[in-house]
Amino acid sequence: MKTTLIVDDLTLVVEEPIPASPVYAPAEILAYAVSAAPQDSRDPGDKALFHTAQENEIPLNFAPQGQTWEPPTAERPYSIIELQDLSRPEARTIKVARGNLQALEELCQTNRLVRKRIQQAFKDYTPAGFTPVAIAIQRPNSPWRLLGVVPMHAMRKVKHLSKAKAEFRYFHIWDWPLRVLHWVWVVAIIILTMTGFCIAEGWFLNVGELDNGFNFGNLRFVHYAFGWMLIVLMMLRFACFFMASNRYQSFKSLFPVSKQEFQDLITTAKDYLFARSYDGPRYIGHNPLQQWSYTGVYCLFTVMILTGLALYSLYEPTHWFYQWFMPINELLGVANVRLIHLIGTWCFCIFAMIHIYLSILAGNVDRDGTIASMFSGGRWLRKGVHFRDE
Amino acid sequence: MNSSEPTSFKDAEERSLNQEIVTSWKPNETLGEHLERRGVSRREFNKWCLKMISLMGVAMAAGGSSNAQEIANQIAALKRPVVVWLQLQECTGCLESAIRSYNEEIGDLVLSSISIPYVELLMAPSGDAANKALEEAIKEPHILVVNGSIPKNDDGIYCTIAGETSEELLRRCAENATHILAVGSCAYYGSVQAARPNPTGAVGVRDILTDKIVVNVPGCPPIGDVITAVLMYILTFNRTPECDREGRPLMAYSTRIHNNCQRRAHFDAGQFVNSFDDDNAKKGYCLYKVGCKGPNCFSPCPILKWNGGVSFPIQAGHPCIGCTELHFFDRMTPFYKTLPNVNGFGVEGVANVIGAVGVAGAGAAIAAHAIGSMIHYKQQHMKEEANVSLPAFGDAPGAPDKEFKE
Amino acid sequence: MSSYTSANVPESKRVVIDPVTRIEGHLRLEIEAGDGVIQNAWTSTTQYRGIELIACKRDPRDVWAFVERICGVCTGTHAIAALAAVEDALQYPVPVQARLMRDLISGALGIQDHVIHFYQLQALDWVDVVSALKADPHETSKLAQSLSDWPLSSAGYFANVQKKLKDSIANGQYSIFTNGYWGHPAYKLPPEVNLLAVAHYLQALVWQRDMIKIHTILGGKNPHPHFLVGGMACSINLDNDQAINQYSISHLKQLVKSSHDFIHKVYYPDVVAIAGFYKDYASIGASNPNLFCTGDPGEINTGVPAGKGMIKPGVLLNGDYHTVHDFDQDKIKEFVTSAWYTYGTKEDIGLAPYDGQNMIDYTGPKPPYKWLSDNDKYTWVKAPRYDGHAMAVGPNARMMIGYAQGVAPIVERVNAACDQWGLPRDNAFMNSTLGRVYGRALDALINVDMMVSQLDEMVDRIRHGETSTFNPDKWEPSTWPSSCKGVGWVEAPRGSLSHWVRIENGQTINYQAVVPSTWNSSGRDAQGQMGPFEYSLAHGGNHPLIDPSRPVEPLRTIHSYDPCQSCAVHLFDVAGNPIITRQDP
Repeated sequence: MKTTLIVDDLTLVVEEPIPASPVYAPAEILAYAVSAAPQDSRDPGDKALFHTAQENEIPLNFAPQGQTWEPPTAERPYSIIELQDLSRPEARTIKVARGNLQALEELCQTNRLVRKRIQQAFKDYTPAGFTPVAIAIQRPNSPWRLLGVVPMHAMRKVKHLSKAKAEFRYFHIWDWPLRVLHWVWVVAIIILTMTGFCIAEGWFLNVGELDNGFNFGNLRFVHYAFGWMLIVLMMLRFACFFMASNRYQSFKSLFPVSKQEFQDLITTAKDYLFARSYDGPRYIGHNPLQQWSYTGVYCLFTVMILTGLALYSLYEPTHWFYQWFMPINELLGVANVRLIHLIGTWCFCIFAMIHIYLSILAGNVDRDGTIASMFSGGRWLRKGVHFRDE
Repeated sequence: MNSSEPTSFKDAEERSLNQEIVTSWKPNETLGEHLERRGVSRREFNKWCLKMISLMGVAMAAGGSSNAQEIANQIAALKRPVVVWLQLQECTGCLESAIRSYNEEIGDLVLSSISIPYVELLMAPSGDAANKALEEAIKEPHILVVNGSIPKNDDGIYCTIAGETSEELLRRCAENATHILAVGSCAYYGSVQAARPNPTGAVGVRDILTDKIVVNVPGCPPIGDVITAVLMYILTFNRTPECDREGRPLMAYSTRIHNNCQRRAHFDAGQFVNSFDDDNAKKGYCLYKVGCKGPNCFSPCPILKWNGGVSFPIQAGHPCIGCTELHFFDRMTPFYKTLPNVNGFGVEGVANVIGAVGVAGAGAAIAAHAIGSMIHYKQQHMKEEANVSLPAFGDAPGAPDKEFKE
Repeated sequence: MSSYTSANVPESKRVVIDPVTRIEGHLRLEIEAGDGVIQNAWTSTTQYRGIELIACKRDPRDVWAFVERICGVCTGTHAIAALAAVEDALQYPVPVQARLMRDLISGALGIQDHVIHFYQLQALDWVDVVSALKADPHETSKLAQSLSDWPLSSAGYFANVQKKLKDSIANGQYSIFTNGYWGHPAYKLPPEVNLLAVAHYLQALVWQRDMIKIHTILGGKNPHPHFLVGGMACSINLDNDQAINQYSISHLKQLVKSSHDFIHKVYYPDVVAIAGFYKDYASIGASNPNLFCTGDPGEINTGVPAGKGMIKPGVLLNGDYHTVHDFDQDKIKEFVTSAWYTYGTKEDIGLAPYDGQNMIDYTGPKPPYKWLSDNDKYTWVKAPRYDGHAMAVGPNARMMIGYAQGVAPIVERVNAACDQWGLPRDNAFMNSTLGRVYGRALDALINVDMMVSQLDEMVDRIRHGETSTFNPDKWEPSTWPSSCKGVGWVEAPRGSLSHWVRIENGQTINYQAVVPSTWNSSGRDAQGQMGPFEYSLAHGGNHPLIDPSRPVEPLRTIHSYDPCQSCAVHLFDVAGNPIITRQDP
């Protein structure tokens, strides 16, 4: 019975009503819902309901009794109207209430079982932002009875999100050094990974005689050059922590350890893991799961740099600088240092895949410029959203 | 002089040496004592020494500040340096390597350059006579060379000599040692017997003699020339050679095999042996991909080579197994793979295989996730955009646009 | 406590020789002596490392390197036995050229080991170094030239050697000769023979470091050359400067020739000449009258010995040295009656090597100690037995069996030596102290002659284009069965060596080595039978020992076995190992 009505820039969706009890037919509930509108209502919701009734050829045999429509108030968040059943003209008028589900359940003294059943039946609509429009009637000398719930959804849709500027505010979050460093890393790490795999196993290297005689050497040189560059980048990144323009980039932000953040971590993890709805907590900066993974990646980089330098030290182990790294070789054995370096690369590959995927996903889901923020430095925060780290 | 068989050691000695009794040296006699016996007084001897010293400028050479009498004393005591050579928990390969040294001919070394009164492999006496030779030698200053590890487990029962544990023996011999050389990987840390699971608790010399300077000369075994050269360095220059952090002399252990390897050009060119005796092997290509541990191993093999500079494992086509490094039996295995196995995943649990599986798994998970989440994020968007409140329908009248459920 | 312990030997009759020097490893002799003879003897090996345990849970392709380190004197031989065992288990055929290379390495080891043994390890038992100082260099030269045409034999040469020795000990420092038993009445050689022997001792040192380059060329280094499961790592390529090529072939030929010369002209003649002065030792020091071998000197067998050499696998039993029985490896069992291990509660059973299983059970005294053998268990060496017999192995065993089988070069040489000494033409004398020394020299001679033809064969095959040194077909673990077992036999310098391996899911799970010196230095078994060392000292009660403080005589006998005690000790346990003990009696 679902219908959609577009009125100006509003899109209204009405789904099949959910009865409170099997004795009530959805069509009947819809009829009451339509008829509970004030006369000459210009409310698009009423128009949508009427449209639904028409589309589904539902007869509307009710007439309002005069100006009896009472609008919802803060204390009584439902409207009440008196209707005459035109198919039974001799009967007395019935009262129809339409509005907030909880209030009407209260009014009808609906028992727990029914409430639960309605909640169950509505559970698919809740995450999608549907409003449960409850309908209840009172026949003469009878108590109020809850008939059911009509799922309704209204959205103001703009052609392009940029037109909805009023709903967003721009928030600068990432300084330019950070962004530049990030993208330079991306390049460096791609090259390091590729050259690194060649060095580790060389399994796709089988060059013959006719070459410059130094292919592998050149490849290793590239690896070392970008390795040193990575060290410099990391040092700059480290400096950035202390020159941050906001607390989202500060050193402390690396370790979200508060109780709330820990709970949010679990929630976000479950949301992503089970691909359930993203009703999760919103963060302006990194959410805790994200942040811990980045902190972990920084640790991984540290391990890679230390093991890389330990391996590099083998060229000149008595040099005063490289002597700092030789103990790593002595403690673990050079072969194990290489192994750790390789395992770190694989870990990073897996991280990168997940990082890219989730960035795209989060960007698409949240639609607040997540990915763009790594270029422009800011996010578009949706108004009305409660951010944890505001 | 009667012609019956000599009845004692002393007797036999005298008979053997009776050709020139007056002028020949008596056992353990120093030059000073000898000259005195021949009628040169101590005072005359010292005067002669001083003349020689000033003639030769020895005082200048010795720093100009040493006591001339000291120098005279040193000249008087022309004894060959004493080396005590211990064999503990070992296979005797290091001694076999030493006797194949080319830079020192072992016969000359033992007869003319130094005196080795105790080395189980070569010494004449056994049992009590051997132990007596040891006891006398270790009372005096001597150089101590140790082969073999020391088993610590179970009160040291896994290596006893003359009823004494190797640990106790080592400690006693080290007391008056002027220099201590731990020759071979066993003496360095235990070599094969210290490999997993090290049933006897084998440890190296430096783990026992923690308060002494121990020069480690590792290798399984080390090249014979290295063993003799380190020993002669000490004797020639009267000091310990400069060592790295692991106590290994830089003269042999300062560079990796990789940096001196004759096949290095092939490594840099990317020319590798893929399988033994394939075409690339016949051309002498680099052995990196079949597990060569040259890049991990400090040793002079490519420079000195073995047995008089003839060859070394890589030259003979076999990848280096890294035998100068700590725990090489555990850390450099599998010998024919570049990297160690990742434990817990079976013998062939190579890191790359695991990594590739991990990446593939992540990829599959991502694909499944992407499909699964499409449903939900549509809902998310609908909810977000359900930003118009419906006061007439149950939303609080005048409420601002909806917030998200927490 | 059984009757064979030394618990009842009075203090006054106890003689301890520890360390026994001029051997490999750590050996201790406890002797009951009196009236100038040895009445009883216990031999104990006092070192244990657990290499077989360490060799478990390893890649089978790596294991040769682990077990090679069992011994650095007989270096290479354990590695070769490991290769044979693994290749037997995996049914992994090896190219002919690689097998010939391994034969050359095995042969080179054998001859070097024997020469070093005679001169560096054994000679000082027979040669009085101090007496050499009295020799006349001219007489020595005549003597040398009467033995062979070996060039280093002038009077001037011997005079120089004598001077070098004299200068060396002149200041009272005797170096390795300190406290030797010089002047002991048991030394019988005239000074000229002593000087000749000293000169040859020094020449042997020079020779051994040179000819061992055979190992370096083929295996990269010595000690502990490198090998490869499935072949050898070196490649043959005549047209490249990096592989086994004409440089290597010329060099190998030269080394084999110089080895041939030294053994024919120096070592063998010296042994025959010196033996002539010690003929009484042809009836001293006989081991248990049971011996066996599995082939020619240095012969390598993957799996059960196949009899591909001149000498066929054979067993001599009960003193009958002319009847050669067939060899059956399934008759080998090992006992721990006198060794510090336990088979659980079944102390008196023997276990076959494939099923070998034991745990360390040290019941000896806490060191420092003065006497060991008053306990049932007194050594780290297990007691292998063949069909219940205590067996001796060694080069003399090979030569005796070869003689009994009528192998011509052996029969000729033995007969010639017997003639020279005035002994009846027979192989029986070779089960004695003198016989073992002589047998070793003959073994080296036969071996070096074989090496000449092995090298010729290798070159000939290269001529015909056979240059493969490695078979890649079974290199990958995916080609291996999930469970298999194998054995490798090598006629090592000191006798018959066998390695037994079980492989499961690409890993070794059980490793056992039954080593020549294990056979020879074993202690008592469950029947109280002594092992060969002990038997040759104590059986019959007539082995001389006139001066316990200078025990030259028993050292002659023990040294004649060429003890290699790091080899002898082997033991392992794989905790949680599912191998079942056999219930044999």
